[in-house]
Amino acid sequence: MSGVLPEMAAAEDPDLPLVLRVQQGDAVAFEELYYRHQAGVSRMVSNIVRYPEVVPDLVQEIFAKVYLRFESYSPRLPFRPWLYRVAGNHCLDFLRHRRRQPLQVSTTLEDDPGREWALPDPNAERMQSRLVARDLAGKLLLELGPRDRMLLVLKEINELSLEEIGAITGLRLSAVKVGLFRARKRMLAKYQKLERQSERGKPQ
Amino acid sequence: MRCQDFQHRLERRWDDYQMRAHADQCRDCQERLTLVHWTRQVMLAAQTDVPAPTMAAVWAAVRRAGSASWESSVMRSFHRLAPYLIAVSVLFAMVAAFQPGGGKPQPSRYANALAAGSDTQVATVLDPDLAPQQPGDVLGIAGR
Repeated sequence: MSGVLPEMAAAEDPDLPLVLRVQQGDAVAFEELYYRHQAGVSRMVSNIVRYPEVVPDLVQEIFAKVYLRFESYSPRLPFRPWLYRVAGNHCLDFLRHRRRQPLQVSTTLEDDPGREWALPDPNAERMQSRLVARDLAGKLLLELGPRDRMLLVLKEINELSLEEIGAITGLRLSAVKVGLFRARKRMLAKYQKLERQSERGKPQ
Repeated sequence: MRCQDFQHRLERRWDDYQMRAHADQCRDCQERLTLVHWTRQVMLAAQTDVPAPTMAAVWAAVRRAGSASWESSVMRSFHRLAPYLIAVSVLFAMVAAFQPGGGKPQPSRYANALAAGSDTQVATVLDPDLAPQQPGDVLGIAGR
């Protein structure tokens, strides 16, 4: 499962000294690890989950889980993929639970009349197009399944290597490549569908 | 350059003249290149950054999770042991039920004494000491 990353890599893991200190009960070492990885984990969580209001809580829970599981952590796998795997599973659990509840997410510009782009500004047009693009991109990302989203976030936003993504998701290298390709294709298909819908909605 | 090499480099964010030359000749790889660049742009446009929680908040979560995991481990142990506890209880009940004389009404001490035929003294209501009380004799001492 995690055989994508060679064991050599684990031995060269820059987090290993801190991890060993945490395993001996050093809380300061855990804080150092937290400061080292908090930005990456927050970025990953906020882009997979897409509900900004719950992100800090999820990140707290992830690090708490990691701290409580340190005893069972074996340095065969480098720390970062292990941390991101815990984070990814936590996000998927959250989304699975959330799917059973009604969502209230604003995905269209019309939903919020007080948006920044509506203000009289000399650069309003440029800002508007940027916000429209951001909104559309966010919508496309939300339309993807959580696993596709996770692959794309890890690759394009967290900029992780294919090997690391394999270690996090438990996929082989070839499966990661195929998964990424399919996720991209599905995203393009969603975009084309949205485009066709907006074409049909346009007045003649 | 083979298509496989091109794709390998593309996923590793390489960008060199060999790749561009290959993409100019190979339609599939050109499409793949366009797709990867387009997705990258979408992802960067969609990117949201939420500030991470403070360290104090993380420690608070550790405490909460610690107590929750202790409770859940107790519950887990209970759930794991529950069938055995039930089985043991049922076993005890069955052993008690099948004991000799089990389930039958037990003879009274008086009947036991009579059956034994011994000179065991058993107090009865006929004993003068235990004569019925007279009405109004709350303490049962009027006849003494």
